[in-house]
Amino acid sequence: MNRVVVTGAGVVCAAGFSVPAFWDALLAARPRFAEAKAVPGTGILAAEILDDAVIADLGVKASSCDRSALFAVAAARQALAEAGFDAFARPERVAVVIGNGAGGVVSIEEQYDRIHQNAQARVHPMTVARAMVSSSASWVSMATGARGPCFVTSSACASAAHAIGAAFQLLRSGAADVAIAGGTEAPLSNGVLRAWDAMKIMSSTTCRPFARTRDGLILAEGAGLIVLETAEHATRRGRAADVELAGFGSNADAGNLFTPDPEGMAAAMRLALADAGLSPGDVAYVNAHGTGTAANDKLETEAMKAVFGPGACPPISSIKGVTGHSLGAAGALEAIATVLAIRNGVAPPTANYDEPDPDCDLDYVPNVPRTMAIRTAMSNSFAFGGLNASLVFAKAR
Amino acid sequence: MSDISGSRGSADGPVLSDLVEIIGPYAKGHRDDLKAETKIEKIGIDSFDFVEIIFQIEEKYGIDVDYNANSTFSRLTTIGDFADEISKLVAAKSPA
Repeated sequence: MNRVVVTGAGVVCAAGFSVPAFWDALLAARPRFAEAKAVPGTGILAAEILDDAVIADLGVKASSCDRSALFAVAAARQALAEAGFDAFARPERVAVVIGNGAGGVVSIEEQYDRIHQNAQARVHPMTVARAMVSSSASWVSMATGARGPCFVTSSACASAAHAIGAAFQLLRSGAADVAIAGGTEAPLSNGVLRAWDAMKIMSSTTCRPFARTRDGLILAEGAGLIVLETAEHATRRGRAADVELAGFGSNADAGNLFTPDPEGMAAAMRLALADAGLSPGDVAYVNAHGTGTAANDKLETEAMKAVFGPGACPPISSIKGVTGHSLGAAGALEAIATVLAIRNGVAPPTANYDEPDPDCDLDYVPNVPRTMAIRTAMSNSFAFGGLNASLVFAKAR
Repeated sequence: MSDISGSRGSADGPVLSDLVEIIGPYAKGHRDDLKAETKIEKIGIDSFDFVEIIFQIEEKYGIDVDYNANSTFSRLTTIGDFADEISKLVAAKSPA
């Protein structure tokens, strides 16, 4: 099996429009939550990308492209620039695998409003192209020239982790040499925000993962993409990589639609460790799913104890107190945070952590980043519907 | 909007019977226990069943119930308390 290294990353989200800006926001524990533009007067908060000038400058023809695809193209360009790719020598060996939960919902609503609200007869001719769930993968392939396997994975909040895992397997098995992988989501439409609000699990103040006072999640939009490459291919190009993707585990709870099963979560983590050939004791840091909901954070804590032992859990933090929950992009932003944690020897903090919860009694790296040697780290995603994915990154050998 | 987390008093009348009717299908095996004094935690519904129940109540009475599944569910006590709170919201909407 080929070894797989990380040679680039790109981020577009409310916390930052580049990897350094994103990392600064995480370390500063600085959220940017405000009432979502699509639902004025409701008090529904979101982490929204508000800078229209920057969006216009992302370099994609906006009339035929949903925000979700636009974000993905911008993140892909950043990631390829860091990886030192200008053009691909063998584009048929470059895969694109992108996680996306909901497709072009902003575009769908905008156009369907014309019919349902305004009694107009026509929608924009690019509605289908904007709305299709796979459009971000198509746009990234067109924008970068990648001509290898190209598809979207959709598993709600675990979409991006599944995408990175699927890309990892393509590279390991020899089906591709390079993969652009991660996730994108632009869910901040009137309908989607109200649908989430109807579940009564959104916070109206801020997202406080693992804190006793936590009262829900906050939706976000954005994209995160990484460039994965076989170690051999990176070496041949003269690229030194400092972090590798070492293991991937995924499974299903086959249980409750909403309430995660700690056994299922724990099994995904164990699968990822076994895939990496590592033991729980090797993991120095865990980047949590940590949504800030009552159920997830308590059950994720239980799962951690099942895998690592009650007194032996490594520090675990959730970046959702800063980023909010970007659904199909979340696993990618968190994988990038995990890579940066290894590279910089710093665990990003859990923001807005104001009060310990007896049910969540691990070391959550509260509010302040922690300098520590991190040779191996895990990034976990646990989606609605009981879909679990766990990634293990390590310092490249 | 009004918070329904801390409730007192005894409920009877139309709201209680509406509530029992709405909760019925969710409380499988506990239908005979749906009385004012029954604790909500004893009738086999989870917090997401409860979200659906609240949605039906909001639709039926045209009210907004300020409920957060992360924090409010565990503080609710009996079906009667819950009916009381709904009655207050209905009364506040259309004062007699």
